[in-house]
Amino acid sequence: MNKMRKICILGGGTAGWMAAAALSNKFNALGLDIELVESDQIGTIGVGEATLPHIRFFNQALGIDEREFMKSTHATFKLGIEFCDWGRLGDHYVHPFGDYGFPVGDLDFHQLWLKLNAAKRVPRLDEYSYPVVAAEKGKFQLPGPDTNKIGSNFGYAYQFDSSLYAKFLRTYCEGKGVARTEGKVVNAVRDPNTGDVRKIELDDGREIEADLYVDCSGFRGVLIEQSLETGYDDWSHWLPCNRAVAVPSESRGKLLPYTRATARKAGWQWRIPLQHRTGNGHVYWNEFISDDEATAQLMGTLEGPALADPKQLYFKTGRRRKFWNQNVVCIGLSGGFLEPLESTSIHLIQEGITALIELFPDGSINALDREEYNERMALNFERVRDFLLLHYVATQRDDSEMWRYFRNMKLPDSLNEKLEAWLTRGYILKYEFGVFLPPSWIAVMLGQNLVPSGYDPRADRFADTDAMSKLERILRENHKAVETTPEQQTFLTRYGAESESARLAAGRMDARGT
Amino acid sequence: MTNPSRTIVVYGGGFAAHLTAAAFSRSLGRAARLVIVASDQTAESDALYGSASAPTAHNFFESIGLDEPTLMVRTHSAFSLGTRFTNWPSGSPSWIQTYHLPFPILSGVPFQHFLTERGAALEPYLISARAAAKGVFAHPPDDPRHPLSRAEYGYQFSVSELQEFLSKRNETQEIELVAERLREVQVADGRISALVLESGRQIEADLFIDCSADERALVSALGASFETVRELRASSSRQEGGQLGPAYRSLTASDHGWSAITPLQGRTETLSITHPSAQQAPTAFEFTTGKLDEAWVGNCVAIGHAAWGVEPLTPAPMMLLQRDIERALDLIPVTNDHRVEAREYNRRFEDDIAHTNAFQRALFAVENVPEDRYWQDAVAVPVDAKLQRKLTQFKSRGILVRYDLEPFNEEDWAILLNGMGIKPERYDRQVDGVDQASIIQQLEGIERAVAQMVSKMPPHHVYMTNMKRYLEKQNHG
Repeated sequence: MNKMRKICILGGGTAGWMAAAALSNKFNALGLDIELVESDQIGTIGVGEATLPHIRFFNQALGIDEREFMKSTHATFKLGIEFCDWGRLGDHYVHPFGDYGFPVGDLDFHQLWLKLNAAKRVPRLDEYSYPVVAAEKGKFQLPGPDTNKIGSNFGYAYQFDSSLYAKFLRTYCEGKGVARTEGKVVNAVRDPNTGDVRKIELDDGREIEADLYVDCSGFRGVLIEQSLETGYDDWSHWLPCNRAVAVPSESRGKLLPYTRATARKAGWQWRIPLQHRTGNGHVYWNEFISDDEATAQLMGTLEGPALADPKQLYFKTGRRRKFWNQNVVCIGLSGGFLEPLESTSIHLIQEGITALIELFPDGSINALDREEYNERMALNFERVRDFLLLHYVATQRDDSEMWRYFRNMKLPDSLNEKLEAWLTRGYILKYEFGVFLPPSWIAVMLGQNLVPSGYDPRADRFADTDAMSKLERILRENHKAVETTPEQQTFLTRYGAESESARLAAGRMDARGT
Repeated sequence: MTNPSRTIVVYGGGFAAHLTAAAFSRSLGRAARLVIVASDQTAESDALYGSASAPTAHNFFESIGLDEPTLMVRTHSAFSLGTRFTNWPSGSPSWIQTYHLPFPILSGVPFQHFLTERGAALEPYLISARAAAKGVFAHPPDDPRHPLSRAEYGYQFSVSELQEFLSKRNETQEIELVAERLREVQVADGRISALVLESGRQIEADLFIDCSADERALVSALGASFETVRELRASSSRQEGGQLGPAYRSLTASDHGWSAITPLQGRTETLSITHPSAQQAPTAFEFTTGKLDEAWVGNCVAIGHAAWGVEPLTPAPMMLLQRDIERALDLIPVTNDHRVEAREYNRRFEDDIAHTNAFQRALFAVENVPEDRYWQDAVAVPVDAKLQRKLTQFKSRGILVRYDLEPFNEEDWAILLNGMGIKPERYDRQVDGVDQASIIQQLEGIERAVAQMVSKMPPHHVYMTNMKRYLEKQNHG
């Protein structure tokens, strides 16, 4: 059998180095040759990136030390995302990494809450979530081993500088023998018989031949699109935002363990607190706002002085028709784009890598492996898409053209059914494979004022007083757990994850505690 | 809330009706008034629920107040580590379809791939299969380092005995029992407005549960129709006496179908399935496999055999019945408008049926079957796209494709396909990068630990006797 011997990874951004790190870690022992081609002339995207808890398992699989990683990437801990102005102007809620309370037998906790909330006798559901309350108070500590205990029933992720993460992984990869080649691809030569990419030619005349190419070249999709013309499913009619402008700024105030996403008239703005600075960006639909206005809006709302010139990005929401076509697998932005509203960019990279490892060719590429890969990735993308769309349609806003556009949108049936089931009885249509589980759907729907008109009748097997005492106990325990949790800054220092430059970041040092 | 705001009527007197009523009563408590309308306490098709359950039954039975000590002390039930298939027309004719927790991952690679690489069988590494084969049993401990902790078990029981037990128990609950024949189902605007009984009594309800097996009296009045897949014939019998046999159901294929023997305490139950054209005992009865086009219509939900017919080749019928009940409980309507509930119920119902049928259809993904109608009909049932993907991917490289919330998990599928002798053509590429000596050592370690553990476990009947003696001392009798 003609064994896979050589992989060429095209592009040295987050996706490229994550792929290189994971593949070299898994397949080093097979004597697989991995070469990553990147060009210093092509910038990478990423001014600060927020992640999902799954990133921890990615790092753990590589044997990465959490403290080293956090120091190197100026990472902060992340307990969730705060959404501002999404339901109505002035609203805010946190979508946490964790459940609300604990189920009572076959009854979900939020159903008991809905029962009592109907009589207006309970505080907001958020008060029963440890990560929400801790996040709001700027607090953090690692969860304990017993996930049935309040204060340990949550997940966490990081907010970090993704270009530093790529650099960190590059060092890791060098230790694993990954070859790095500086150069720009000018041509890809395809095999006239099989249609596979046989070799790529660089600007300085060098050529690289590989059995498998991992295209991490970003939006351009140098191999997957420019060479193989795979095609792109345009999802702009669901998620029409198509531009962004991003800028880092000096940090101000308390170091917060969450990302903020604030809805705007023609898009939304992110704020990602890192140890040494804050990442900011404005995602928008150019139909309803000019680039200049979008930039001005972003610059006008920074909490500290800008640390660079704003950078303009262009994109089209959707996905590549095939994530694996011929002998090219596209991972990262070359595979598709979904706005970073729920921090899924790195997660989708991770899913792409995990699936590639599981389906890694053992000889010549098997069409069945490709099919399976494409099925899995398509499902991942679609499920994230529906969850993102939820944020735009579960809203009462109609104060601008964009919000009116969403108001008049005909939703995909699957999303419509989810909304109806929620509004009727607080029921969540569950799935097993997809990143956002029921608590995430609850957080967004309730957070954006979709209060169900009914609740699960099983909640009525408890007398009101009984239900109330169950809720009160969780409330008490939750507040007690948060009480004893340190501020994130204190924890970072104590944990030994504080980065050098963070200590020197005068901006925040001055402002700390104010 | 002192006055329950809703009335739920369960129509039917068989196993499904009493199990449903017991579960509803526990889960809804004061939230609903329950009425059972039944003229008859027996349904011959109840035998088709099979006499074995998967591990999920443990929590389910417990949630309806039928905990394990009660089950073992008050009924003739036994433990079940799976079903032994014999003489099956697959590449490998015999295996134990056992229950197991997720398989180990060795050096970062799912361990089955090492077996594929070495051409090794799965069974010696499965503690539950080994224990079953040897006729021994013990409870899996919680300690994850203990080799037996990977085993899972269900129950073997007599459906008619559980039905009797539950119906007696339901009498002591706040459930109204109406022992009367149904004269008419009154329908208005696509909903049942009342059941009219022989005495002229009218029963109204917010929700009607049709547990009338193949009578389907309620759902069919609302226009639901049953889509038949196969026609079969079943006969069941019971032999009293004898020592408790092994903790597995023994299923043997023949030219005309199959026959399964289930050991219980002090008795065994036998169930045989053939095509209706075959010779069988005079007590044999015919049944059809298939499903309703919609299980929830208007204000009525069909549960169990009223909604589907499934061959009891595996614990599938019990799994589906349990899922029907749980699905209905998840969706007890909040208002008179049941559209949202019906749509979601039917969506989940379709998925559950399709996934269950896929597992059972996989049993007939074999090269050569006998000429009898039973086998010819079985292999003529189309393989759907989901199953095709599973089979293709498994054969191709041992990948177990999964779908959302399937009743049979990844281990069930791995055990089935391995058991049938289907061998993946390739294995995970990572296997080649792992140090062979270390893998051999790990695999041998698992095999040895399994063998040692099994040699120390008591026979099923001895374990049962000792456990019951202990329980009786604890006053569980």
